[in-house]
Amino acid sequence: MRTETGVRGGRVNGQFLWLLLPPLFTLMVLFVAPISLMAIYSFWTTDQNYLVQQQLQLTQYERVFSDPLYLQTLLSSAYMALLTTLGSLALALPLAYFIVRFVPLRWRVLLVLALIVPGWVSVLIRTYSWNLVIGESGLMNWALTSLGLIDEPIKLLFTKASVVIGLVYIYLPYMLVPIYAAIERLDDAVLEAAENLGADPFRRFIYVTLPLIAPGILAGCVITFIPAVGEYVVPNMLGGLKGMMYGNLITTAFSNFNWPLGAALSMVLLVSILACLLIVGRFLDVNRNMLGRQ
Amino acid sequence: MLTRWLLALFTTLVYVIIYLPIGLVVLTSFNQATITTLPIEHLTFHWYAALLENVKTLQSLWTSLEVGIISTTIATTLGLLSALAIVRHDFRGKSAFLLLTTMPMLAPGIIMGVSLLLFARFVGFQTGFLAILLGHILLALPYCTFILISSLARFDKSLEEAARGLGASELGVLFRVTIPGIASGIIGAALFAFTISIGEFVVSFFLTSAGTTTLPIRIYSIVKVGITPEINAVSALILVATLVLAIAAFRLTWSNKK
Amino acid sequence: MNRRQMLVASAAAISATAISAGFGRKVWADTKIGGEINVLSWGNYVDYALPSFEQKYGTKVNIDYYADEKEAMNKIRAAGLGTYDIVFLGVGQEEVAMKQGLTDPIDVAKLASFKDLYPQFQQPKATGVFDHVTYSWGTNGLIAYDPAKTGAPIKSWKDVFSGKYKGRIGKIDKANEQAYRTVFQAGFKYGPLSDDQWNKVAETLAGDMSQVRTIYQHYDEMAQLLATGEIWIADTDDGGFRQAKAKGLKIELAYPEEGFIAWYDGPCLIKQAPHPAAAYAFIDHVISPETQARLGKEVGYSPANAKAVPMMDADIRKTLDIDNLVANMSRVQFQTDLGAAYEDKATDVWQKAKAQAQ
Repeated sequence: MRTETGVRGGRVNGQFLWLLLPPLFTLMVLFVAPISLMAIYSFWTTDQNYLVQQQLQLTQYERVFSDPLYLQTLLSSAYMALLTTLGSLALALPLAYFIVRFVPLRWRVLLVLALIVPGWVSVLIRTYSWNLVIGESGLMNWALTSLGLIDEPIKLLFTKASVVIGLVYIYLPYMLVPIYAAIERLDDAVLEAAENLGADPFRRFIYVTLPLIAPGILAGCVITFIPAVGEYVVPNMLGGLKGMMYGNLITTAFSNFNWPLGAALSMVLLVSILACLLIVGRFLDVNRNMLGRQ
Repeated sequence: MLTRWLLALFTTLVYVIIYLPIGLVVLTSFNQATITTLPIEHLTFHWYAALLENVKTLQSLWTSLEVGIISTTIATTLGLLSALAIVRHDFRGKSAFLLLTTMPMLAPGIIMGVSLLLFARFVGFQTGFLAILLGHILLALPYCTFILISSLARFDKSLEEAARGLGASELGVLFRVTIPGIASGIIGAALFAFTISIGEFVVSFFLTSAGTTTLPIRIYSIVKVGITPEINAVSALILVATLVLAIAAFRLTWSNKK
Repeated sequence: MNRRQMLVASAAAISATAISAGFGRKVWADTKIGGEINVLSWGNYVDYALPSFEQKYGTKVNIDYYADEKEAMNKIRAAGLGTYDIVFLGVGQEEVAMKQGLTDPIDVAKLASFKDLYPQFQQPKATGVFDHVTYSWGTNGLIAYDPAKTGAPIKSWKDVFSGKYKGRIGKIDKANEQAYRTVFQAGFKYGPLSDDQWNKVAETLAGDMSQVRTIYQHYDEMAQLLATGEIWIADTDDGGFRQAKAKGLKIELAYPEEGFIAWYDGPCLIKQAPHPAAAYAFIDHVISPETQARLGKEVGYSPANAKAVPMMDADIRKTLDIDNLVANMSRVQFQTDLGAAYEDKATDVWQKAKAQAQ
């Protein structure tokens, strides 16, 4: 007999095991084991011939924490990710609100799909196409010059701004979906009550709507910010010199055959992410917000 | 009212900007010049024709589709199992399990790619099709799980109780009542998983081998060798294909809704 | 050929037969080998020679590409030995590959065209082995620029970083290249550096970066950037320049007065190559006079086979400046492997320079 709240702790239920074990096994083999191996690598070193020396040492971590290059780059990557998150939020929130509140039900899914579909075109191609838009001889400058708004082309490419634009472009769907879901679940009755009590649209939004969809916003921010910290392909393409991210340090370490250093850098990133998640987790009650239960 | 029109304008603007690079990709696929600059001078179908002869690119497209379909199926199934376990049961370590499930979604691709490669080399597992497949399953699993959790949480259990009361077995209930009931969630999860697989680059990059390439990797190597509008042609074709698929999925979902 | 040469050639042919008989095959020089071969190569480097190879030996070529030597070696390691047969390496990286246990020495007696290479390229390494066979060579550390935009010709690094072209310079994203380019700019010689010298190099590079607009990963990207006018001056090697020019770009090449180096590159035999007969056939094919004669026209690089030169078009010879190149071969310094510590330091300096420019 399986129920939602019935089975606790050690009681083994055959059916339950059929459900839990396959995904758990997959995660253990494909995620936990590889990451653990990588953790071990981070304590090794390489010799003059680029071959790995399997003695446990703290060399790599000493290097990562004493040389300012690494942590500074991590921080600037986090900053870039933060800008991306804020930018995505600024776009996703009004977008989601509009789709849920003012678009008929049958078109809503289509609109959301329309945001996901571009994701099927390779990120490299989409990013590369931004060159055509914001480049010096690109569409944006051509339009602005033709309209007489500017005299000289704007050098937007290869700046931090272009990186943020490119990243927001990629992460917008990730931010939108949880917010959209949260707004959709809103009970109109609550909003109507607020309206009847005389609150204007703005106050209604800030004091009623926002707190209710806060978990969705938080979820969107988390699944945007955290992967964005590790981005490096897109920042390289759009930012050029200004697009150096922590991910580059990792790939460079690996391509220089310094697998231990790369592993150490990866572990530092991973632990930072876990720390972030645990902090966020305190603000998020899993059962309540994920499963809609009290 | 004002809010509505402002938001409508904003939304339209956003969609236009989102489809601008896409539109340019399609446009430049008809461009005769090899170097992709504007303005476009001559239009031609040349690159589409060249694409059809480009065996390697077509092969990589096929590989991507194969990996996509298989990984989607497996990831969605595993995600369903996960979701059922989480929504229907309470158990010690549920939060830990949820955190573990979330990690592949959050950990940057490069960490996943590197760790999988290290692991594969360590246990002697060959990189290639199978490795890429496993990598994609891992990446899609969190998304599928959460989408299905959301669907399941909203699903009315009384239907299941009724079926059980009528004498259906557990498996029967699962396949005849639950799964059809969350069909839109399953399709959503599958769509997400496929999207992730088709566009996946970083992890695949670390797991390719001689002879096995996915489309994004192939595009990357072309971009390194010589940027021709052939790539834009491939992308335009993918776009058309996905639009068709998305519309098909949409109609399928819509016909399932009450 | 005189009689003595003919005797030598026959002896080579007979020993080749004897050796390949050990593989249980007929003389591979004039029969099909069939099967497949897995090649790792630079992009747009050896592709033109593949159809003729496939036709001659009936062997299908599976080719994968890389943009730098380390990527190539990592690809071999990732795929595991026993996957790839051939990889193209040079400038000392072939020594690194051998040290890592990735490649085997090449038995040059099995290569019919080996004797036609320039004498310089017929020398084994100090260890006495041939860890690679030279396929192509040229110069690196050069400057490509658009004279229409710069106004004046560029002759040196001093010109480039004079300040007149601030924000219009592009650099290639390769740590060791930036190292030796800056070494010359700082007035040092190519080779191991002391800590003081490294500091000076880092300083010079940091100063340069303030004038740099962007960095690129490969020469095709460089061509794109020059074409759209985002940059006017770029780091290049001779082949990269010629390929860009062949696309129609109106650019010029400058050999910096402060100095530049030479590079060499060629096929290496990967350990546990699954198709050894095909591998040797492949190496011999790419260094054969017929294939080498096409190098200049197809990819803009100079041939390592002296016999190929008379077979080339006169105008290509001129564009590649072959006669001059050969005449100066003994005077130019070739890039080599300066050790893991040097590479590490170069990477560190370059990464810090990039980080500072953020």
